[in-house]
Amino acid sequence: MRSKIFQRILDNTPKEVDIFVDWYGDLVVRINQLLREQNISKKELAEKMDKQPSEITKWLSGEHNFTLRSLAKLSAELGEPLLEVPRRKAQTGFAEDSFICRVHSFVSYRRPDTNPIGKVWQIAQETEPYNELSNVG
Amino acid sequence: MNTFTLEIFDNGGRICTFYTVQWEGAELSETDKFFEKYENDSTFQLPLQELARFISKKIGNEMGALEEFFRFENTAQALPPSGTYKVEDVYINYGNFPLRLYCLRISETLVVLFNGGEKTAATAQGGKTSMAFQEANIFARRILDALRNKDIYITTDQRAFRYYDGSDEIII
Repeated sequence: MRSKIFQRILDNTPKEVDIFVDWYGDLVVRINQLLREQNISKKELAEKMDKQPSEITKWLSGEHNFTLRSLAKLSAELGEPLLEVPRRKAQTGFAEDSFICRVHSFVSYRRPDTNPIGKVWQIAQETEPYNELSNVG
Repeated sequence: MNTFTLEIFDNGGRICTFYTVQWEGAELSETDKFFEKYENDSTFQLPLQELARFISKKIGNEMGALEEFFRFENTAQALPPSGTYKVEDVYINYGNFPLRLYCLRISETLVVLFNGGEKTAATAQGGKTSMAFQEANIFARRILDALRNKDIYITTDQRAFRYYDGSDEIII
């Protein structure tokens, strides 16, 4: 059961708003979670970042309008990633109430040995593989 | 004393149920009044959509009513033995978010939404939302009194209110 007016507003909400709210909520929760895990107080974080505690309160509640620079600074102080951007194009599909990421296959490109035995398939030597899975999860 | 009903506003989410209040004889619930007021206002359309999505998806369906999503607006009201409750606003507040929506967060799975308005002052007591804030406090106090007096109770799954006789038609 849902209020009709509320449902109407949700139905008219563009996808970009959905994604923005996702990012906002996840960031606020992630930052607060890291602070709890690391047992860092707002005052300590403010001192580390050379900011006023009131400003840190805004960061933790999301009142601060996050910029890439502010997120990078916060991520550096907390020593944990806050954002992860896929490095290779993944096949992304949108579902009704959330967006999901489907990665169908990974292709690792390696230069084969230059062995002049004709046009046969070579098994790539085990050089340092590109860790595709580092972008997942 | 005027009476009001406690009604479901949105129980479609997997995690949290939202209730609202409606004065006896009123056409709309208090939360519907809030959303209807700004629905077609171009200045507030986007933040209203963000707030709606935040409520239904992030809180309702994904994360629940976590403390970091709310801001306490007044002193706590004790409700033994279950802890303390406060009137709060849904704290979706990035980059000078222009709206306030008052609520009573019972738990991470149960929230009562009230009315709200434009945020024209730093505190809830001032500016255009002060009237809505005062009314939110009246609603909250009477809901808490009803719980304390066992006129209403919360179901064991913490997702719904019931009248003392088990009915879901709740008049306070």
